[in-house]
Amino acid sequence: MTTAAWDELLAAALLGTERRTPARPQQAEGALAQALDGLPWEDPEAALLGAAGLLAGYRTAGWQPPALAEAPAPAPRDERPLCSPGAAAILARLLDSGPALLLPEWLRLAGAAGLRPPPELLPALLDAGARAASLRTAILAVGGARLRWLAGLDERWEWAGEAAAAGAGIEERWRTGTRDERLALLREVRRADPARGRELLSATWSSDGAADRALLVQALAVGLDPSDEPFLEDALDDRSKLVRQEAAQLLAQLPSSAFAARMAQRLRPLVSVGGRLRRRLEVQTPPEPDDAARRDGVDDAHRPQGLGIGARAWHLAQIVAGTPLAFWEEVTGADAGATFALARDCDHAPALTYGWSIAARRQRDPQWSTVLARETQDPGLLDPSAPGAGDAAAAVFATAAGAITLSEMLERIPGPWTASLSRLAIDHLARALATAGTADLYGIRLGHLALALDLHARDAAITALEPLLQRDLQPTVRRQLAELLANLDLRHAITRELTPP
Amino acid sequence: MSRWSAEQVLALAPDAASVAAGRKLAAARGWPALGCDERAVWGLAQGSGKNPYQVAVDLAGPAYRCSCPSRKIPCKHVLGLLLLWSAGEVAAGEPQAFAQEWLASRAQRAGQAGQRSAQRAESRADPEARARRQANRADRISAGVQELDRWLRDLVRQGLAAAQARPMRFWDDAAARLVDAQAPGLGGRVRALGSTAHSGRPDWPAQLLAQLGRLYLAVGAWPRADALPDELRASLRDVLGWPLPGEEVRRRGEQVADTWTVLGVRVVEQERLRVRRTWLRGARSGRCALIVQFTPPGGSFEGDYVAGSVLGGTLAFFPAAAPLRALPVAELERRADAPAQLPGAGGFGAALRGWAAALAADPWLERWPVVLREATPVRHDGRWWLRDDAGLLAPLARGEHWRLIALAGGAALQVSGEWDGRALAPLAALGEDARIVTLA
Repeated sequence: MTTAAWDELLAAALLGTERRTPARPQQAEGALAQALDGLPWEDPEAALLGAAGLLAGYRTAGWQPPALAEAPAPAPRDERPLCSPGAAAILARLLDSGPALLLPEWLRLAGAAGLRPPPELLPALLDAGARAASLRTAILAVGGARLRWLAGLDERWEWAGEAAAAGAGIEERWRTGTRDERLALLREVRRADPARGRELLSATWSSDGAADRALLVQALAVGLDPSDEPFLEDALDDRSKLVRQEAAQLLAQLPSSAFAARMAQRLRPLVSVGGRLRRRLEVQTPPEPDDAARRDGVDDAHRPQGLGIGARAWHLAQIVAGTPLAFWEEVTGADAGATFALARDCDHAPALTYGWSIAARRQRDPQWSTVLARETQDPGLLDPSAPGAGDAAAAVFATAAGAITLSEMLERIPGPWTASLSRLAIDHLARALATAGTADLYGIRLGHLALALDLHARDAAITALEPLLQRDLQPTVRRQLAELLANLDLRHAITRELTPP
Repeated sequence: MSRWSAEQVLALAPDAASVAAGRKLAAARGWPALGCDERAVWGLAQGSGKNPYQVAVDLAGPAYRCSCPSRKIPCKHVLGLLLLWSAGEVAAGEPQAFAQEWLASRAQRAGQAGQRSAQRAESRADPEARARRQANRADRISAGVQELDRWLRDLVRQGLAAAQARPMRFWDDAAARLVDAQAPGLGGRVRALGSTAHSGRPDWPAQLLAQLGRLYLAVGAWPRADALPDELRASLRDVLGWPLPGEEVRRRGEQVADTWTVLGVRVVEQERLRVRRTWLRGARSGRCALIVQFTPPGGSFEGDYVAGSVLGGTLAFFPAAAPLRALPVAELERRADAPAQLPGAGGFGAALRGWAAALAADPWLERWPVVLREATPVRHDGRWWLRDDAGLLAPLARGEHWRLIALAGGAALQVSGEWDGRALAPLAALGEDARIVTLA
């Protein structure tokens, strides 16, 4: 009833009363009609404004909402228990303005404890996943069914739909993806089912280009085992040299492979133990590589400079790198440390050390890694995930103190560190700060160090580092030190809130 | 005094950056000394300088002191200190010398201020001087209203389309003249006209006309103000920006003692001020109340109001045709935490009837508190709504509502919000596990 009157009023208002005189509304009834009649219609401006006031109030007060008969379908239920209010508050903070680098830890611990985040934080979690692809798997797991339901409601959260659908259509994605997408997909499949991954790779092997083959074959490093050997052995005959090199490197990681046996066979005639009073390792350089050796990747390219390794010795180093480390125990009857000592005076010690370092890394041999890391002062040789690696790193760090800086340590051995390594690092840091020798700390982000440190070393860190805040430190260093301690506190709180008692 | 929750502490923060900075400082590290008693919390904060900052909070005010150079009130050190205290990480003890001194000087000043305000009250009580002041202001307002009348007539003579083409200064100048005429409320409404004209929304003409109409109701009513019923005259004075002074409201306004649940809180920026609207509902009286507070940017609001808090005490209502706005007569006292539900929840239809009745009494009413009993966020017709248990759809205000949507998960929940006659702006909701979640 009032709509027509209002529209008429609005038309007059838009044009202006000097162009259009507002008509007196005719359809109104009752009190409204009386009030409208009371307006001074001979004065168009006053009448228009007055009628607008009356009708606006009338329409607002009388507005009828639309109705929707069907209630929407609710989201799937999430039966996991809600995380504690403290854990929720920390998550809100991490997602809002807090140190985002602690978010993965929150997600990991919540996932392990089977807890769910408060639902009102799911939009921020989806946004975080949209920004950082590395967090997506963890976010999907922790967010659960409610998060995937929510992601379906807005375009910017498409990533969650795609990632959630990852189980389906692998073949399709494998055939149509970009090179990087296919590499990521293959790694993912290999993690869950190595054989299935190899099948995917074989299926398109003959049609993929050389650059694709060289890149994709690297994914076999994930979940590599002896069943991959036939495929890799074939790849040694690939048209592309890059592919052949990648295949040789992967085969060298399988000490039981025919490839490893061939390398050992080449090495055997070159090595012996000599000397009666002082035993030592006697090593000769190999003959010019034959076709078979070249097929196994022994060649002249990529010789490192400045290490005192000549052309022939480079061939030796490559053969050593491809030979199982157990070979040396057979030859010398001694363990890694003693064998290294035997080689110290050998003419080809640099080539041997180089070859062993590569072999130790490929074969993930903790004993050899420790010995070599210590001898070469290169903690990067240590595999942080291997058992005992942390203690070995601590040993390296302790003997090499001064030669290796904290930042190098952090760069080469990603956390989590063991308690003993953490304590060493804290002592090192405290010493550096106390002597104002902050050169070692230059460019290192102490806040990140808090991620690598073991939480059991938190008390030690507080005792050693907190008093230093009172010192006359450079403002940046002080800020970073405070950040380190704050991040440790926050990690401690995350663990306390998310770990079942 | 019982400890505050972290949420209450953060409600004091002047801006988001302070929240983040305060949280960062809320670790027991970097505080060489900490302590609290019934009345105050204090501590030394290690900053970037050599000497730690002296930080203290008088919990009664609350009032803050920090020796850091920040001009924010409260600064991040105060927030960090309060967060530590709220987490129970500050042990009771004797105040340190600096805190002791400050608290003592505050107590002294409070005594002096009490005397001054008593003197002021005396001078105000001089009925002749007061009447003269009132008459002067009424005259100036009348002149301002007359000018506004002419300005509005010019506007509609030339048309809204022409007015839309004007720069924002056109509206701001008119608003400033009304502020000069001591009718700042009208000034705010004129500035709001400009915002609508420049909003770029497709329905701007209709909204602008409605605003003009309501404003003109005030313009037309003012010359006849003496003939209006007392309550409506009070509402009109509120529209003009000439409400009763707070002390008079506390003395003469209707007083309601009750247990009040905070339905929600919203802070908005308005003309270089921060305005906080706190909506409350009394358990026994069933009355809704609105506490409006102002602070300059960087300042903080008195009283810790967080959705879901239950507060005991007496509110004094500003006289009005549809009384909503109120003041605490004395500081409200915190009762239990987290009620099992938001009080007064109902259907959208009933809420609209309440709004219509209030609007009939007070045509200038801008907002109405709504608590929906079983509301489900639904997408329909290209926008988001709250569907109540009868299937009625309440349009949600512009902006994002993902927190609410995620919290509901497609199911029904209790939601409080502000209804402005066009859309519902959610304030808080009762989520699963009886948690009250702040949405504003």
